[in-house]
Amino acid sequence: MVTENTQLSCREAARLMSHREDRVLSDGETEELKSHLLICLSCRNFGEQLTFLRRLARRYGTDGPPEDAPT
Amino acid sequence: MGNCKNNNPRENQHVLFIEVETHRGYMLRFAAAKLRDAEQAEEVVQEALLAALDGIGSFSGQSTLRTWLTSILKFKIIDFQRRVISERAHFANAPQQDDDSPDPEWQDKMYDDTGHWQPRLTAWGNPDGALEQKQFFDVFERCMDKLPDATSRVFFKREVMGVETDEICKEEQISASNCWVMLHRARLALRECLERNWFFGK
Repeated sequence: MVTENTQLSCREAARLMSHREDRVLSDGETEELKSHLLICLSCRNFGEQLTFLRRLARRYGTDGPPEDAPT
Repeated sequence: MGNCKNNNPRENQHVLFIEVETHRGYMLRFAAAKLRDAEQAEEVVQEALLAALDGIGSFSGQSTLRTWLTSILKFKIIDFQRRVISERAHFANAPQQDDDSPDPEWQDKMYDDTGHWQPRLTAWGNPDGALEQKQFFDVFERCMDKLPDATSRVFFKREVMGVETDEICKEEQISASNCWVMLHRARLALRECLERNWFFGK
């Protein structure tokens, strides 16, 4: 049963988004996160930044930085 | 002139030598993540670079240079670990961190009293463009270096090397939840650092 009090804070939502990269979230966690993201633009931005961070790290470990290009 | 292909093998080799050197920083971080010891990492990277330069003729260009160097480095690390183990019984004595240790203070400052972001998080402009800039990767390295050693190691293994969390826990001798906490802290800190030093700080 969902009541007002079970609303996630951004702090908790951020933690779940991070954990989502490392473990399977429970159904309850997934639901709570989903409804938080619906109403919170900051956390959606955070989610995108996490995804980007992962891409950056993978790129860093494979190709590395691009060769020096004229700027 | 710099990029034009030429058929002189000696000159090509010279160019490759210089290029190999640009991957040293990455290799040092990779080795330090595995060995937890900066000095040992230095030693192994030196061995790997020598081996790479020795065998550079066998670099086919099918993988990226970094991937090729990393595969050599991995062998050297395993080699090194075998040597160390045979020299003396080796016990990793990772300091056990408390799972329930409170969030560091810098983390508190990111949220208001009700746990909402302060200030609000706004989208980064053109993050994909940043991936095309060498200086951005320099910022990323500096941000990783600012993390506490263990946190940096765990992040590097998980996100750069793509190791699964349960394997990281075993290697680091930490619990799964501790591992998740460390990864989350690393991501928060790196996000903030990239934002301050690149996206909003430029």
